[in-house]
Amino acid sequence: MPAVSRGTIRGRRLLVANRGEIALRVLRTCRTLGVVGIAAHSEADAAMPFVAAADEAVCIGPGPARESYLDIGRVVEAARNLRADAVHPGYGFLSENADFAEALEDAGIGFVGPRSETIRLMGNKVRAKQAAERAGVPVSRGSGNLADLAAAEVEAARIGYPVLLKAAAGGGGRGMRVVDGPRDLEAAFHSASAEARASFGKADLFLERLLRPARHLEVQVFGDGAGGVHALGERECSIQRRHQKVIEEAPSPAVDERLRARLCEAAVAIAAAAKYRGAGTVEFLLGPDGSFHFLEMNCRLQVEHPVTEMVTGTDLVAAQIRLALGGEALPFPDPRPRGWAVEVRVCAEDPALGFAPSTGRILALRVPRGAFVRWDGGFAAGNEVTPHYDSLLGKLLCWGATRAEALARTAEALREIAVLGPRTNVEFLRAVIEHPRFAEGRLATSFLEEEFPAEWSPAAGPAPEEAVLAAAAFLAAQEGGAAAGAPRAPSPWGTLPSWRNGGGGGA
Amino acid sequence: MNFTGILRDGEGERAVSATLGGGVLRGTVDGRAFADAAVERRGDGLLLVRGRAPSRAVVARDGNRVLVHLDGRVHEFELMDGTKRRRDRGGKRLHAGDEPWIGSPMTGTVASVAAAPGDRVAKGGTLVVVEAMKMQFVVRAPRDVVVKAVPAAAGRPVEIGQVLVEFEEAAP
Repeated sequence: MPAVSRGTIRGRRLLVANRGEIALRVLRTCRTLGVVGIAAHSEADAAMPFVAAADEAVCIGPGPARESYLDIGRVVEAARNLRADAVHPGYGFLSENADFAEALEDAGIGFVGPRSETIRLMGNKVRAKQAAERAGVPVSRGSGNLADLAAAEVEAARIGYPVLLKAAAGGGGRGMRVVDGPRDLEAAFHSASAEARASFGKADLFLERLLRPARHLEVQVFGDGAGGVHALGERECSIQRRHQKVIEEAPSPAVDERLRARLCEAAVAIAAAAKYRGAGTVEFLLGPDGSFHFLEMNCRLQVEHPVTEMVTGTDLVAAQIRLALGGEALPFPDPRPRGWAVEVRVCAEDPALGFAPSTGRILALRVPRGAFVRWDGGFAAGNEVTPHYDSLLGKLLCWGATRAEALARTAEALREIAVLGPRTNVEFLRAVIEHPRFAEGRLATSFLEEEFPAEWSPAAGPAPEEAVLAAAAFLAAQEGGAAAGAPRAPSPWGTLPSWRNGGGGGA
Repeated sequence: MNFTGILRDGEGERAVSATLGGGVLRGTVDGRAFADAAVERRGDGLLLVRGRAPSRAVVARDGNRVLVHLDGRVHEFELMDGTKRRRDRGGKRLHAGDEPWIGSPMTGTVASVAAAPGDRVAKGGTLVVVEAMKMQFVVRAPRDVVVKAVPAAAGRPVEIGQVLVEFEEAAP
């Protein structure tokens, strides 16, 4: 990449076309780089911490994402009006939308991500597999786009059951179904194509042989756009529920130095062939025999990128922004990890109700603290969790010199984090972290299905008399304040009204 | 500063009282007195010290709902209002399985309705699909049921706990 002297990006303007924790993460990084950060937010998000953390903010539309975060015209218009030099799309929303990247290219505005043609190539999962094959990387047996159910029946029989039905325009597990036998194909085909159309606007599906048991591994890459690509080691993301990642870690307990070298080499080959620009992730499935094959390439920053940052000491977002704004490239370390990092995704969902999303106001929030603990959150007490967006409240990350140490810190931090209001998966996450099979590192994409099928409720504990007393003490303090008619009574409890709302734990 | 009332959780109701003064809490649960606890506000939480093991609780209230986080667990209480008994709309009771109705597990939109009045639906059969945050959630029959009425309509917004399908009282 062109060598530009350090500091030239200072004062340049970056618009963040996303929300929640990732918008806050990017906007905070802007401040460390001296870049002017602009939040483009929906009406529903006006009170969110990422808007407050921005140097400038612009409302781009109402709550529903289709009319704000997913509206290419509105985002490009906001970027033009606010004289943004580049746009950071975060993950989800427009981050892997080639039309969006192209609209910015046409407007002469930088895009923090690869070129639109790369997104278009990798966005079509069938063509991406062909590109990987050309780069000499093993791919799974599969079909091309399926014309209809009859074609699916023929192809599935040829590939051999069990098969995986996937959306050609897919990602994030949407429009994906496991099909164990011919009897299940028809229902899976219809529901997957409906979900694919709802999520991506395209109903196209294809088939892939299902490798079971398998581990989901991915390699973080960073390309200069001219064919130079760094690999920053692997992450293991086998802990998934309905193809959505729940817990990620780096490195992988299944990867030794030789396998890491082979995975990194394969990832670099794919990214270099595409002259990949910026941060990207190449996903693989690892079989029990140590063989692996290419799954797909994600042309964006991943939700789980911080585990790589923690074991390599790299700020991937800063590297992205520098590249997009023409700043000096950061030196990348060698991909060998130092220590171990674990991420758990804290979501507003109710494990006892089949993990249904849970909405409502966050009444109180205490975020975990401590040495080697990182909280990438997007909400503060008082914020509303709305049904418009995904259920991620924040990501809890812990580092340890060993995996066991990282897990112990994660369990402790999960004991400390307090989210009052919507229901959350915090206790479920701790149950997974403390599960003996997880501790042993015997992971597979089927782990949660096997160990935590369906709904989950915590084991009954001792009678919560202390909790009853805490509630009573709180109510007594509230009643006292009300009876005195003085919201600022001169007692330690006088400050309760603000404390009731969570004491500003913040993101 | 005093509080006397009834708190209910999934296990039942408890009569509690609390008196606060000088940082000391005197409390009773179902008439049983607890040793005085030193109570102190500490950072963003309430420090509740009992005996030798200090535990830090975070408490919040939303109407009649009182939430307590203590040692990694969230306890939910409903503050009972004298003789009034409110139906719990948000909790596990939705899945208790014996009510003559089933409520929406989440706030969102009804994606589709599979049940019609008079239908016999076997346990586990699809009744309604609710959608939120781009996720679909299938509401299934909690047991063998006969559908009495279907207040849910496709495309309409629903709140958590809102009744989607009503059943005949006893399945024949």
